Amino acid sequence: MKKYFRVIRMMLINNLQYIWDMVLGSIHFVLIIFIFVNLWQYLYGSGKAMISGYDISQMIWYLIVTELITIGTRTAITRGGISDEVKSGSISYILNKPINYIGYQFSNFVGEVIVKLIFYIPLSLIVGFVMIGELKNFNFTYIPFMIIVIVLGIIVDFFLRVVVGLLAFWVEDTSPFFWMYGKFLLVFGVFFPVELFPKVIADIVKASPIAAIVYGPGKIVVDFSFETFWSIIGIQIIYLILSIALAVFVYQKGVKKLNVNGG
Amino acid sequence: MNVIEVKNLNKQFKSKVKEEGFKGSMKAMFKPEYKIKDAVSDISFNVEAGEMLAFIGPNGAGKSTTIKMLTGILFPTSGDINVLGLNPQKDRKELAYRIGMVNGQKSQLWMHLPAIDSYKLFASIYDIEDKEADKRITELSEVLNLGDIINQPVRTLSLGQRMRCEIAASLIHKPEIIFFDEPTIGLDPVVKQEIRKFVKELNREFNTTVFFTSHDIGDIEKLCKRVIIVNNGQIVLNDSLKNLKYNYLNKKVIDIKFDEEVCLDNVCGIEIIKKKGFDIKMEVNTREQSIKNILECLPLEKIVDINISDIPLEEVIAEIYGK
Amino acid sequence: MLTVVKSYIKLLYKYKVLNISAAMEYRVSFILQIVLMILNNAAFLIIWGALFTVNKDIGGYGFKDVMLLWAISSSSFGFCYVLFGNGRKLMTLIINGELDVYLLQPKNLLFNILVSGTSVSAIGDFLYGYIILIILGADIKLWAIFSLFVVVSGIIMAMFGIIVHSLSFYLNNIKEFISNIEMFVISFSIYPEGIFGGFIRILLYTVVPAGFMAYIPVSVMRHFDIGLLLVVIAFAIFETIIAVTIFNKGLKRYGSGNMINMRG
Repeated sequence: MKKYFRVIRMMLINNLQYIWDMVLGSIHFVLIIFIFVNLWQYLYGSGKAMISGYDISQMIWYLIVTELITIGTRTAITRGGISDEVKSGSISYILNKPINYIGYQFSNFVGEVIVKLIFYIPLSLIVGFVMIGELKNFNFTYIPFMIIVIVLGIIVDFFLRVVVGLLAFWVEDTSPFFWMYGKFLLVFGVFFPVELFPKVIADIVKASPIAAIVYGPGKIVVDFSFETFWSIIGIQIIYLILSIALAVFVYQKGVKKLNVNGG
Repeated sequence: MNVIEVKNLNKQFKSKVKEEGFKGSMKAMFKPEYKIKDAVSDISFNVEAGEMLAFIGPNGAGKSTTIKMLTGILFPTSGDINVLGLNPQKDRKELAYRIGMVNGQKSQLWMHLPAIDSYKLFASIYDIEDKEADKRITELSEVLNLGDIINQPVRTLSLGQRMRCEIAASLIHKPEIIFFDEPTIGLDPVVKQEIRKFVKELNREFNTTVFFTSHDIGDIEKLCKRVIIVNNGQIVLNDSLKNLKYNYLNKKVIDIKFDEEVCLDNVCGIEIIKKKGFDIKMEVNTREQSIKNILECLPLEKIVDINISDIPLEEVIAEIYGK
Repeated sequence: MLTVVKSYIKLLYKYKVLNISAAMEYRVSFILQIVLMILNNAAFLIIWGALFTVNKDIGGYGFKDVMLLWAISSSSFGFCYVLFGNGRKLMTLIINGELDVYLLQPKNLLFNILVSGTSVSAIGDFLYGYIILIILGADIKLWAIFSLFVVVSGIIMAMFGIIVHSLSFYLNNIKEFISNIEMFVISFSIYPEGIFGGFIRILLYTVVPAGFMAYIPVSVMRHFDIGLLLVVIAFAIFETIIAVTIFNKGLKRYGSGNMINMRG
């Protein structure tokens, strides 16, 4: 167990050097929120108090949560670092070490994400309060439940990205798959709650990984109820198990292929 | 006639200094400290038309920086440069038509395409007519023995083949001066020799001035008549190879195998470097003591084998770097 | 003069042929990049479709206008980076000392650097705008105005990129910053102008030229106005002058890969 902590610590130290980069990198994060604040203010401005069951503060805070999960946790690993390791063959160096590869990458990820979140969580709160103000009907006692859902969302996202990254064992270029994955999250889960779409689409999305990763956490923060909490947790646990199983399966298949080819 | 004139050339780089560890990282972020490094300081030299000059020095001595200033890539901090009557920084484009550069570590060819495609592109960059370009490519490919390799994607070539293609690319516009920046790095001895032969020919046939940097002393010994050695951004030696050898190669190494234990205490002017059994290795300063005298003092009847040799040029140069 | 122009056009042509044939070495990836980019842009129409169910007017734009906005932004972005593909890599080239090759060649440096690369996915962006025109059933006049704006807006975008990337001559470690600033223009030019307030609009017509690149073109395409058209062209010329000046100034500080950090 100790070695995993060491990996986390290394990543922490490594990444502190890039805080400046991260501050600048957050411009995009703030920009999207800024644009959507303008957009929603325009739409709510024409006399509507609620759109698809959300008021304006819920609409913006929803986006802040989903952005926190997607942009705020973007790391080298989840961006395609695993594919690079597979393609360059440097994965075989790690294979030789007595460490579980997926576990190793997860430790890397946790180290990097902690740094990012230490920065992004206060940023999200500041941006939210400055641009739209407090969230209506927010109850602080529910915060622990919200954190559980957000953390689970981030973890499911990680393992699914690992699966996509490991496709590099079979395909030359995994970026189209990363792209498709990211696009589905963005269109159907990040910008606004899926209730804005026709009911058929909304129902499909609510049962998909999109619900586990972005919709669920967004919803639980802006519109908490224990009923939603349990249903989202249920979906998240199902997808967590599925995604870990899939990652391990794909990894083992891939490594076998690597052995056959002689690395 | 001088084709390159350099006077009091200086180049400084400013770089961030970072201390070790976390504290250092934080400090570098909020209060960066800069260190001025003199990459080249107060260098002056000339190169004559048709000369083959070796410009050598240890890593980081300022060789590449100097070449880059001569070719108009870098702006000097101060000093004057005149190449073919032009100022490389002001008349960069004009100069570019007349000089070429081969860099052993930076490729100018398009990796995914055959070299011939790159050549045709370079031909239009240098405003060479298509017909003229074809002729030139055929010519170069004959001399450099390129054959069919110019029709294969560059990434599939061996390092030696690629280097030959690189050289051809740099010569497409018939440059008057050609700069070689470590062209033989990583090549096997056969290819190295081929390239040396070609460079020699290039110089003889077209009177092309060759400005050569390399860590391979063989390159320099085989090709260049004059050597400029730089270290820490300064010229430490600017002399003909002949003089260099004469001044520094006044030491000989004598290896003798005796058939029994001998005592050489009475032989003066030698320094014993190694003694193992009946084998003795000694160094002689030929200015103080002639080889003839030494041989006369040795117990000739006990010698089984003898070998007299120069100190390798490589060691001499390493010694100069060390000063 | 004419021969010079001719030689540059010939060079441009050769670069493009070479770029495309190099990219075609990986045929599947080549096609995939283009198709995915078209789909990427189309995906945003799903978002807009949902938003327009809330209200028929968003910032003074209807769904069709948003399509036009996307068309012009996407095609001019595509035009810019098909033609000046290395524009997106400029700061990497500067920081890693990869300008050397270009500096050794007897051609206008900035032109030579920019056109020597081609972004494959930008081909998809370029095509996307014209696909929208076909879907909208545009007439010949709209095609002509649109195409003119694609060129002019594309140049504005390229020059904006040069200005931003040239900062890397002066500052270290600002990669993230630069790529974010580029995102700025693109992000603003795909949302209706009308949703932004006064101060932001001033920015959009000055520091971040989304106004000239996208909003005015959309407005001219809706109601033709020669005056506004000329304003955009004038801005493009102005920005070109600024970009070239800043780049050439910065070049004096080019370090050819010697600007690496040293440990103390």
